[in-house]
Amino acid sequence: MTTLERVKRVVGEVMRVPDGALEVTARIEDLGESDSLTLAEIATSLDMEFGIRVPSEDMIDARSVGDLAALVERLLRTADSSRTS
Amino acid sequence: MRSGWAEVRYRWLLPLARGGRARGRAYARIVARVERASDPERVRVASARIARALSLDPVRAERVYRGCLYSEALEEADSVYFMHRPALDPALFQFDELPEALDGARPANVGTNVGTDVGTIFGTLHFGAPVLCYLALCARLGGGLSIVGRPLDDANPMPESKRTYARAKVRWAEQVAGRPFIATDSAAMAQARDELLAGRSLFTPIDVPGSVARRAATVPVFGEPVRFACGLMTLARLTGATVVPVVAASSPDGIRVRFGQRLDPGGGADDLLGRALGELLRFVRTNPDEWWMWPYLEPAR
Repeated sequence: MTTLERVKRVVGEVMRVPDGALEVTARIEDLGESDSLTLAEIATSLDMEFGIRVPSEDMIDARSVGDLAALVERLLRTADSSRTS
Repeated sequence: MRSGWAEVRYRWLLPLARGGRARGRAYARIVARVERASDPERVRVASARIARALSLDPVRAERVYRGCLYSEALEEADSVYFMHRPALDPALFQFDELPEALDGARPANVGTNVGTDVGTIFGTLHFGAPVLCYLALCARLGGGLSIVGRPLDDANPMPESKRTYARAKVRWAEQVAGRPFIATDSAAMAQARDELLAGRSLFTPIDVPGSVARRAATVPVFGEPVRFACGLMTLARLTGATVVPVVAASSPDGIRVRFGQRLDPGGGADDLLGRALGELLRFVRTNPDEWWMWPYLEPAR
């Protein structure tokens, strides 16, 4: 499963939207019934799914599912490079 | 009449409290009397609820509600008094019944060091002296504590003269605490999560009416189901932060801070809110005239 597919699954579970229905360009705030805690919930679920810490500042900048997947990939690369260095 | 009275109250009477705490008590007595006379429907609703909750006769219940109006006005007067002093004297605060984990220089999971330990959510009520309670805790914990509250924007309705006072109070609290208020929007909640995960703590009222938030839970209040916002309890569950119920009330000697038991965030947000309120309602039962929310509780339908 690719990072994008895993991110879509996580977002779909939090937003209660079938992940098959999520487009890469889908904006988080347009999905389901989001509220002020939705970002924090997605960040927590991404933390658990990928074993990383997704900082809130980066979450706020990520507007779409594709942005989130790119963010996770960047954080995974950073985590990998810090482990190997 | 109401906006004219608000103007007199906040623009002309309240500044007199700068001159001393005795003046503040006089302000609170006047305000309680005028508020009671100017809004009989609110008095009726609150007194009936107090009578049912505490099995009091109507006369005693109304006396309790008079005390609530006095308490709310005294908090304003105390705030204005301390805002105009050079610094808050730590001797002013008396801490009582400290939970074991807080009875030290700094408990392991409350502090300013970034690390893997999660901070604490201090849940309070609109009771006694909530902002002074926050500042007392800041002094006690030595930093790393932020307050979460509704912004003072147009969505938070209040007369303009009260808003001016409230904004000055927020600036003062931010300066004393050394930390900005955290709002309740999406970005702020994400920031609040970061604060907890970094080992810093949050202070927030948990008796906010359910209608002002998207997430609300029904919790029994002295046997009656009531709707409250539960977002911060969700945040506790997301981060693993424990919840410590806390209230403070004013006395002529200072501000007394009391704690409930530290609560594990396990279970759902509804369950955690119920347990936290259960702890806090013990203080309401002892001092029902310090809880300002009696007329504003939203019965669950």
